[in-house]
Amino acid sequence: MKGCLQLKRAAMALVLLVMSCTLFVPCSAGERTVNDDFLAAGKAYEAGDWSKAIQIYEALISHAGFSASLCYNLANSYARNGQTGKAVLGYERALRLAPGDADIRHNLELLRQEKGLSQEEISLFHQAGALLGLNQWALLTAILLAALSLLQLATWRFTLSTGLSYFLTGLCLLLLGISSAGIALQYQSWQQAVIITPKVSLLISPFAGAASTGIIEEGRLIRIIKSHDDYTLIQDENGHSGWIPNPFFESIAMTMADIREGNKIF
Amino acid sequence: MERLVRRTQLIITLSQVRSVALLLTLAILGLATVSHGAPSVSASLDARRFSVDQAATLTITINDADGTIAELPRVDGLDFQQRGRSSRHQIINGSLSSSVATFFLVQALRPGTFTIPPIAVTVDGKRLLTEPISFEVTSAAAGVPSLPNPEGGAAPPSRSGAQAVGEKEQMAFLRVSPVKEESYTGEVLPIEIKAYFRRGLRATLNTQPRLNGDGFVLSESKQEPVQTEEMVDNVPYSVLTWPGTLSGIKEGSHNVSVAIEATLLLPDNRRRGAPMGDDPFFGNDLFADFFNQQRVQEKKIQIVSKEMTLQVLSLPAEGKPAGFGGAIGKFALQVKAQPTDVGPGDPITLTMTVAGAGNFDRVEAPVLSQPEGWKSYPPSAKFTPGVSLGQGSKVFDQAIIARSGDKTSIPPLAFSFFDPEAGKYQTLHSDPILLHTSKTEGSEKSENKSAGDDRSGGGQGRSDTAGIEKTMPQKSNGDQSGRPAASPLAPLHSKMGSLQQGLIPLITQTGFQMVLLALFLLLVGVILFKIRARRLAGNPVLCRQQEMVRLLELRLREIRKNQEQGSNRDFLAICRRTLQEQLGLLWQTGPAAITLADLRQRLAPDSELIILFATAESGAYVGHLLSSQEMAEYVEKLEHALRQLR
Repeated sequence: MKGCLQLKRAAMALVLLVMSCTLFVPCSAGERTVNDDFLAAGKAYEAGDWSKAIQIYEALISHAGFSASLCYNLANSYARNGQTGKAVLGYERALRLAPGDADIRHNLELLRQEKGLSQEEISLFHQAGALLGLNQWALLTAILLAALSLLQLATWRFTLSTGLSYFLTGLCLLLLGISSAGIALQYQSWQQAVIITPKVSLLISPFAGAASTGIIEEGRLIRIIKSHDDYTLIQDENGHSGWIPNPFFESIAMTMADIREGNKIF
Repeated sequence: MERLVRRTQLIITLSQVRSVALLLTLAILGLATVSHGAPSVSASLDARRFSVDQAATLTITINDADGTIAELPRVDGLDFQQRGRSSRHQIINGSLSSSVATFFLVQALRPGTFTIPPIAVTVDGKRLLTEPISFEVTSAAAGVPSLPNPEGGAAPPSRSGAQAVGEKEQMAFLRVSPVKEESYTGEVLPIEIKAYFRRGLRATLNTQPRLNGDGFVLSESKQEPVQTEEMVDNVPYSVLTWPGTLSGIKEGSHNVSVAIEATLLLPDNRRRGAPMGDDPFFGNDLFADFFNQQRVQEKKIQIVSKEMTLQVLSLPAEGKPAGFGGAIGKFALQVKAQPTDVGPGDPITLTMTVAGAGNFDRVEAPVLSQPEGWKSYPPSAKFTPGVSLGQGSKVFDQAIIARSGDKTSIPPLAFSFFDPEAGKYQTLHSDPILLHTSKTEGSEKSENKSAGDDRSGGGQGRSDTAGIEKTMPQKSNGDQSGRPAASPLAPLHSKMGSLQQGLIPLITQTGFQMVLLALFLLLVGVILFKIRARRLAGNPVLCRQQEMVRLLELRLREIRKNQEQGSNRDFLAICRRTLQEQLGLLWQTGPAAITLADLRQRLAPDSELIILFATAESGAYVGHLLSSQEMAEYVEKLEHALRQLR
């Protein structure tokens, strides 16, 4: 009887061991592979093999997903490799994920300055909006909504001084207004795209033989207005607009499905 | 007598019939013997002197034949409009004559003396000519100015070469001022274009001002023209003013003018032509005025300014500075540098402002007068227009880096332009800007590295010297992240950070939207509950009803407890108290003061409550006790009666 019990315990332990191996071993291996690839890409970059670094970073993103550091490192590799458009795209994506990162801002400004991609002076309002990223503004909004709800519950169930109640409610509403404005401002920046091909002609109509109204430089931020077949009507920061073929630009926002279907990260 | 009168009337009637019959017979007989005269044509004008706001009727008559009028002659300043035909036949002394008249309305476009030349009419294959007709057209009678002419005024697009007349006789004219007669190629000449329209005239502009002639380019302001009022020779005009610039693009002498097209709505108070226009009823202006329908006619005109002869000179080759980029005008230069406290390899941003008046599209960034030892990067430019066209300031931002650490100042920057007033080139020099250099360990390392093998430094510093950094400004001394001093790009991040699937903002993800929605609904729900509670607190009826319910529930629990315990006295006492409390709340009186007499007085005689109250009182005062069955029935009735009380 005792032996039978021990046998059962041993079997149970074996099952648990197998299950834990099944659950944890692939993850550990996967993490190790991702970290190894990340380090390998860094080594390739430092060795001056930027094409290889780009290849590894791209593969990492398509398998593991995005992070601010991955996008940033990839953008650095593109910048070194002379691919301005994709470098700007990488920095812009990294900024969307980590808006306060000084390295990303520094490199992006440096690249723009070098390539003559000057931007319009950003208003104080927009600068304030850029203090946080869209996700941070969204989280702040959710927290404020929850705080406001709790405050209302508290004033309903418990006795709070009217002045304090009004002050806290007003404060919450003010912050909620600010965070909503922040969302609105930052949401626009997520709708932008970047020209990734040098010297793209702006066409007056969405077909190949259409007349050109000008040239848009690689690395310019654009706003997508509408699409027609393989062409998209865009407008750059200076207000110039025209049709360009779809492969000549890349949106900043992107899903994993986009990556896997399009086989294109940057 | 009466019969005599009747007979006389009958005789007269019969004689009239006979006369008519005789005449008809003669006419029929005569038709066989009528003879036509020789065909002839004539032209007449019903007025030999009229004003420009009126019209005359030209009648071309073809006698004794069928004929066709060839095309009317084109007379500059006159407009012909056909208004109809009439034909007439008559027999005089057995001779039949016929005539066909064709009517034309003649309108003059300006005052003057005109001659309608002979008009050709083809009759039976022969070409006959009318006599020429001369007439005089005077200025507008009153109120309505004359139609414009093309030289120095306005004219219909198809007309040209008319004689000039004074502006005061024009309903619209154009002036361009002031224009230098001599300018240099590329020089910007600010001008002012003014279109004058007689006050009260209704006009629509069809085009913006445009330049007639070669050798110059007209740039006009994108702003809407400014509308003012001006008096010209004591005649009020509405004036539209456009600021603009003229630039000579081709050397030589050029005749240019400025034109604009407009549509005028003119009151049609012209005299009607005789056959059609003199309708005593419908042709009456009074009739039109009665229905408030003043006739107007649209007149498309082209207003052309007086032709100007402008000379475009080439820029002198003598004294042309090396750095001259084509700027012509009058400019001033201001240069600022930031930062001035730098180490070797640190970028310095030069902010160079070129302000003044001239062709800013040709203004290029000032250049270092001594560029040796400095690396300059392409400047960015931003033009801010001034109040007037051709004026403004152009700001250039340019990064420069000292190639060596011994630079103590930024050399003067030079900007060259051609001054058209002085007729010579000028070069502006900024003052040298002193630098405060500081050599740090990091900067020395940087210098050593740049002096040696770029790729042998190892680590981040080594790679930073290759590729892009060769053309990018150098970053200053190493920072806290250990970035090398010479690194233009911040180094790679060593940690990957948290990964996320896709670059999609949180706000667009369904889960997060649900959370936000739930929080919002929670907030709305709490607010609604609070509003309801506040309304309840402010309503005495609702409060009383709530209190009645609360007290009833409380007392019913006590009653049932006593019922279960069989404590008959307490049971009845609580029942009585419950009744008093409920009725007290309902009648808003003290519960203790309510007696059976009150119930009998205020309730219906057959009210269950009276019986229940009486039973409870009898138990309390008389000692009447209830069985458990009676207690159960009592409770049931009490609860039912009290629940209905509200």
